[in-house]
Amino acid sequence: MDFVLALHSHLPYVLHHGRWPHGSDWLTEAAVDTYLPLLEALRALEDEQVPAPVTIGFTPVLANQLASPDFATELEAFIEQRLVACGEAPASLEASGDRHLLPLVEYWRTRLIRLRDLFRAIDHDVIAAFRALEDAGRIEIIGSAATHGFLPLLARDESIRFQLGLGAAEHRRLFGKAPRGCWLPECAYRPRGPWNPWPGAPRAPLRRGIDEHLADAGFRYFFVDAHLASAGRPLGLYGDLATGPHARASDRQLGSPSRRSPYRAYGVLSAGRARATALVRDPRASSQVWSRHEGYPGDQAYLEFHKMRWPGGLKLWRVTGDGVDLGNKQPYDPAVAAERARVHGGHFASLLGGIAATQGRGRDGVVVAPFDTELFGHWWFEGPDFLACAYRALAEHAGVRAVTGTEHLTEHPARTGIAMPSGSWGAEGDFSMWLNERTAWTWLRLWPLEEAFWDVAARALADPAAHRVLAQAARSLLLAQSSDWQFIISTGAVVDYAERRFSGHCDDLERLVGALTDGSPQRLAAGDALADELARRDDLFPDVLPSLRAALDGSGVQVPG
Amino acid sequence: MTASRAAAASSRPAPPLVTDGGQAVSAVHLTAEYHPFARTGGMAEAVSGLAEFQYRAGLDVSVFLPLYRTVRDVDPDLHPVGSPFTVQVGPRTEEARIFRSAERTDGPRVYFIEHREYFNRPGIYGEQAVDYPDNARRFALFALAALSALPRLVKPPFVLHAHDWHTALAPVYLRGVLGTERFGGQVPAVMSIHNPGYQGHFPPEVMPDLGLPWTLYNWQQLEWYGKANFLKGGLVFSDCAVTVSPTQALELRTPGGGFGLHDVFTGMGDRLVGILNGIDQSVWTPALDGQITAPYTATNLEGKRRCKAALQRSFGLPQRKRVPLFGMTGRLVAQKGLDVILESRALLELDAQFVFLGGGEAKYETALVELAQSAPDRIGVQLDFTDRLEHRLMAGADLFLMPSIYEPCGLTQMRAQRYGALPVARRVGGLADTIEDEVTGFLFDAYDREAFETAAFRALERFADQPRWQAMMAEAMARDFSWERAASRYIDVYRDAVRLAGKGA
Repeated sequence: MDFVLALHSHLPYVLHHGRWPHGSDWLTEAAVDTYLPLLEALRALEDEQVPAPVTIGFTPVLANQLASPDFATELEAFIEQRLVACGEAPASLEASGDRHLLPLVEYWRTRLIRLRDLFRAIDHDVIAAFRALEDAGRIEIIGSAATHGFLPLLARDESIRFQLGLGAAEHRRLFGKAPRGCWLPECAYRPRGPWNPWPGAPRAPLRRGIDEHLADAGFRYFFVDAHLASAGRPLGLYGDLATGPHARASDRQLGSPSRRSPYRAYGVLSAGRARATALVRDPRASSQVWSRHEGYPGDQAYLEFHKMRWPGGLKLWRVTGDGVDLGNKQPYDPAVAAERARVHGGHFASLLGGIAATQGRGRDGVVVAPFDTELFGHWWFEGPDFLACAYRALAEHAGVRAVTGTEHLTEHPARTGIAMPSGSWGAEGDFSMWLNERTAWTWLRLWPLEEAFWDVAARALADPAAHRVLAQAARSLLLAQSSDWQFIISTGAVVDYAERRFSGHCDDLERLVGALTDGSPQRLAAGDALADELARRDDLFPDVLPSLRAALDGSGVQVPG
Repeated sequence: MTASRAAAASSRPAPPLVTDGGQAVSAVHLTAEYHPFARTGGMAEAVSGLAEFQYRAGLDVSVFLPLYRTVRDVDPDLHPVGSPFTVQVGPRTEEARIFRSAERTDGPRVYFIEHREYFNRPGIYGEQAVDYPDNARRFALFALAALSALPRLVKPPFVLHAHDWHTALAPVYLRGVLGTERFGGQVPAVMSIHNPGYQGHFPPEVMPDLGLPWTLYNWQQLEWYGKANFLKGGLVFSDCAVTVSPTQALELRTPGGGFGLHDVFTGMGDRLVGILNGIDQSVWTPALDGQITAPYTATNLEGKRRCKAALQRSFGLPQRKRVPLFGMTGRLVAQKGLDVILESRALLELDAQFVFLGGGEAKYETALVELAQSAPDRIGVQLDFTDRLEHRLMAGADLFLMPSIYEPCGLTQMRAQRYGALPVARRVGGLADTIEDEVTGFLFDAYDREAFETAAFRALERFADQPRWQAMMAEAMARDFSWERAASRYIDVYRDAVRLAGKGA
């Protein structure tokens, strides 16, 4: 049985949009906590010749930021500031009677220097370092939609094609090859069918399924949550199927939906054909790692995420126990935590062995465990250690073979096709995390802007004088489409930042589209000035127009030049 | 009857233990539980198994236990031995009477001590998980009545062998209160610790109430953290102590494993030994077992397949041949590791079946029943324990769960191995001594969910590799857990006790 660990790395565009508490520190923290330690762990496993075929996605919006020279500057400054904090901590710890915490300050200092050395050794190029691992056959890097747009809720098919087409193009630009797998933002899927997500949404006739758009953009496979596969209707792979989510095929039903195994890949059927394959998240393997209360991250030996020492922001305490308040947290012991990570890695490998031994599918079975990359390191400090230990332990389990998504599907292509319903990996399994009473206003603002943008785009594309404004308008559209804004608003975490960012990009888009719609030289000149100004801040996706043209053409595919 | 008794007696082996003067030494067991008359846990089988095999080894064996109401359910035909007699317990003059079971004559003589007020009750130690409030008086009376009756029932020399805290006052009264004149000199005393988690803690006021002098209430004898500790007294006044596995004997000497008495255990030096209990292999051998659906051996497992189907049927589970079937039997108490099992959702949600047999604490009963209701096609629970069902569970299960917090000896893991149900168990006490990791079962160390699950997953992976699995089954089924070896080790301990008592230890 195969095991596919899929890591999804994503942050919205935060460069040049503030630093702390909300802004580029999100990116630098993710890099210091997750991307660099993960890189370090994967390189160590490479040295040990332990297979660690992670299937890792970097959304194009994240990859653009990691490739930016401004990110390197930010990261150097961030580490330097933390090192200064380490230098100042001993005196204040002495003063506050916390001498017992001094060894932990040294631990952080050593670690930060080590990670800075790594960052310099890879010439500040995180992207190139992961690309090198892929080129060496160690890992597979998958793509995503350009800015992690919530595809099923975008009003225009052009928007979906643009997100995916530009995403694939940016992936090729940054990672040097076309991605085969796609991290579908929020695992959000919608089949072919009519579209009417909310009162006030633009009227749309029958729309293509997300799977069709994925295939159009050249992606071969994507990930779905278990409930989509188990609720889906099983059909022969080449069965001719009536279109739409309510199409009947009861006469071809192969088994009761609840019996559908998550341990196999399925061809996803639209219009009677399966052009993309879905790998199904296994809820058992995932909850072990994901859940703070039932899973590994809640272990009392692990670093407490929420308690920091100020000034400096050093984390010096451990979880200590379930429900222990922040005042009673005990000092962190890195050696004890490392041992727990080793135990948990071994447990996870054994769990996979147990699943492989009991699920009864032969070699074509696959356990798929997708996670946000930032869980490992940022939210769960010991996560990268855990992953390394799990891969080391897997070598002892003959029944389980770690592979990438593409490796599995090359050997075991999907043999069963299913028609899947709508859904996501959100809290309710549907779209409600992103579209609800609190976020509806964002969509009601975004949908007309989408319409206006695409209505003017073809004409603007034909006019080279409008290209700078059009390109920047496209970037603003993409940035406004990031699913993060609705997610943050729904969780109630940092609502004001998300609202400001969303509205700001919509305002920018409105002004730029206004210039394009007017089309007069004066308005275009003013638009150019605005575009230039915005381009310095929203400095990503240098070459958007070919993908935009492809999205307009309806092919979705932008032939590499 | 008389003839057969004579025939049996004539064919018995020579007494295995004699004094320097050539007199055969006999054994006297004082116990609160004895199979089949009174049982709450493994101690009943352990004491009856030991007594039975001591008898078969040629020892003259007497057993004393209280005449509980359950005794008459098992044997309604008891007959009295002598007249009622008075027993002075502190300020109280009580009346007791000795009864004997007429059922068997070719085995240990079993004497029951009748005291209607104390023992003719529905429970042994209490009812509905609440101890009787007069347990100190009940078991003090039992010890004193047994000691009073002994001189006219058992010919000296004999070794007095007390089991667990309930009878631990016997060595205390014998050595610390009554003196040994009435027994014609020193009586060697041996104290067995079956479950050190239960020690008989009582407020100090019980001392005068039970006729124990205050001089014994000191940190070297009965006093323990402000309480009277019966087990501690029994240990202090015995020549030798036996716990039920070598690993347990080591663990008892550690602060973490001594249940607050590790100093006492350490102080006993080599007078504390661990001897594994045995099982009656004439009863627990799948080729000879009449209670299971079909007999089987390691080389012909067809019978086990039928037993598995029968077990699945009786627990209402689908009869799937290849699905791994976990069994668990025993009291549903924290000690047995129920918490770690109930936390193990990742294991319980796998495509495997689980059957639980036995009752206990309400919270565990409720949790298991809920579990079974949530997955009726994979999890079955039977709260009413019966011997027959235990046989059938061992015969039908592929794997056996025993993640105990502590396990002084444990018997079910031995039975499970004999039946080819490979145990997934914690490396403690008797489990560590009777299960060989990756050879006859799967052991883990830390008492937590991850460690338990890791061992269980390891077992499942092995189960998926049937040739290797069956090789392990054959190894486990061939293991010898017989009482013969244990009974002879006890003779060695008795010999030491006789020697030490002779020195006036």
